[in-house]
Amino acid sequence: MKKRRFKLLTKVVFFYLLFIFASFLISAFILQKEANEHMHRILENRFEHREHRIEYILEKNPEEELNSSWANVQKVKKVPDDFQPFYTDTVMLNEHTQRENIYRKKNTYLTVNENHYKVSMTKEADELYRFKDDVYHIVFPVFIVLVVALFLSNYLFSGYLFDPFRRILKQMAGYRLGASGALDNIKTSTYEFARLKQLYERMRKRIESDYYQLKEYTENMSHELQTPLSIIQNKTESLLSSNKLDEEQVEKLKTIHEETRQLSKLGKALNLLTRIENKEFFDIQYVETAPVIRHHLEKIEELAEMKSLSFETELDDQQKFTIDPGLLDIMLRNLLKNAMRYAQPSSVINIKTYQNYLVISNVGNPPEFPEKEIFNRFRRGNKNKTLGLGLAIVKKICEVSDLSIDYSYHEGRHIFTVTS
Amino acid sequence: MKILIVEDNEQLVEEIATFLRENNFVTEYALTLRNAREKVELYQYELIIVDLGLPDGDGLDLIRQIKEKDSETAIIVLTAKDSLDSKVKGLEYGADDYLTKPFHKSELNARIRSILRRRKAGGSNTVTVNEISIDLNASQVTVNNTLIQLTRKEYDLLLFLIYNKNRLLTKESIAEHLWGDHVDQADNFEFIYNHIKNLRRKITLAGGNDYLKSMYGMGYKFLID
Repeated sequence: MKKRRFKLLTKVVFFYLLFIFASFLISAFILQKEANEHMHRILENRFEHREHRIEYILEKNPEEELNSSWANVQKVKKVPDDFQPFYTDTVMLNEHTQRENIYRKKNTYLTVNENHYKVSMTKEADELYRFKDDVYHIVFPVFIVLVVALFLSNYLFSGYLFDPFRRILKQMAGYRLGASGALDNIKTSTYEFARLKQLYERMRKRIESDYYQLKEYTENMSHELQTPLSIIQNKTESLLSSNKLDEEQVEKLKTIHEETRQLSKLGKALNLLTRIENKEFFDIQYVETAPVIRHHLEKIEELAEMKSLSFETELDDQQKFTIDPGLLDIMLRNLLKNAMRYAQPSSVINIKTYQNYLVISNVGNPPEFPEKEIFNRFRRGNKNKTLGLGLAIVKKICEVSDLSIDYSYHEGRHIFTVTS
Repeated sequence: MKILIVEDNEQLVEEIATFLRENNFVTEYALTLRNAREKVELYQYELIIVDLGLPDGDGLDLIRQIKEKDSETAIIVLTAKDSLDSKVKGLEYGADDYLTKPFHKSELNARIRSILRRRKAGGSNTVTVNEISIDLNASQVTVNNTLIQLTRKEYDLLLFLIYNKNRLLTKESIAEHLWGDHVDQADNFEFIYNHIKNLRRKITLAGGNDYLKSMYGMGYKFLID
């Protein structure tokens, strides 16, 4: 199951609210406790007044046993040991208002002139409870107002607050190596976004400097290699122009000549691979394949005749690929080269395009390695002195052009299918 | 006929210069872009061969400078880059042709002559070797004043051989000259033989000598003593 993702601001608001809710609860609790104590002190004060009055009455008349709504006094023999005054709250009918109110009753002992009395007094405590309830009545609505306000501001301001962030993201998404990827001047007063922008910029510069170094290296490598190879090639050809060579010398020179050629082609092919990988060919167009294929076939017709190969084409003139035309050219050239190289003499090479795919197939011996390895670098049939990079280049071109290429061997035919 | 070679590798410069001198061209060379810029400012060249990758700059800058000064100068770009973009750029700035390294000197020679011939508009334009005469304007070949019918490939082959007479032309360089990049598609270059054979037959039938010599199985030479 995919984990649900939330917007940062929503998350922040959520945790913020949790925190506020907790602090509201705590402060309500403290407030209530404070109120409790305060009310208790007030009540206690009043009870003490009453006690003084009772003491006053008892001093005058030690046998007086009060029994009224405000105090109940009974004479007792002695005060129990370790006695602490205790309070009970009860609901009673108020005689004046005829309403049920909460009353607090204090039970204690008084000692007046060595006489001991058990005293209980009741006092209305309704206010106290009402105050306690009021705390919650105020705290909760305030909290709800806060929740609504926060979500509303989240909804209204997230667009504004996160605008620089979204713009930075958009530019990052559109970034391509080699293209000028400098951030547009996105102004932000948010520390994190400014930092993000700064870091992205720094990262981009580092990547680009690495990239250009590598690119320079590859290009230099290729360039610096080709010049000495030119010299070797020309020198061997000069030597071969001489009439005074014996057979052994000629053979050696031929080998040098051939290997030089191979080396030069290898350098170029690897360079091409790197450049395709670096997406240096990015003149993406919607290209019709039929004219390109026909052009290639025309050029290689004569070469194919040498091997008595013929072409059977079934081209859809509407068929198009979205690709750099240069890359399409290289791709077709390599596929045709491969087909011609591995085709059995006097066989037919089939080329078919239709709607969204292109198929090139040729008759040939089964591959000597697993089918899926055919696009690997330096994978080649053993009979040929080839670079083994042609199909790797094709694969790479398909990769960067969002085309898929498949190879299969079926009923004696090697079949390559390019699908868009 | 003055040619300026702009290339940073001295060996290669020497190689090209010697070769061009053998072909009766006067050559000068510059190893750096700066040196080349000075030379171009001071002297007049009919053709300039420019390597794009120079140690102190891009050869394309030189092409721009040459074209600003004098558009009559022909330019051949040498590049190791084998990249479509720099070639195309070179041609956009007014280069007449390009060659990718490693190249065959015979090919360079053929390209130079082809460019110079194109520039020489009007007037007769023939290449004559003993009894063989090629009218470049009409693309016609006569042997002992008899017109012979050659295919396009045979005509190109003959011209290529004659431009590079007395020099070994490898099968590969011939194939590349005639088929360009597509020659990669071939397993081997044996098919050249058919064209050589046909060409030889057509020339000898018209009473010409057989100048085509096979060299060590490597290639052919148009041999004139």
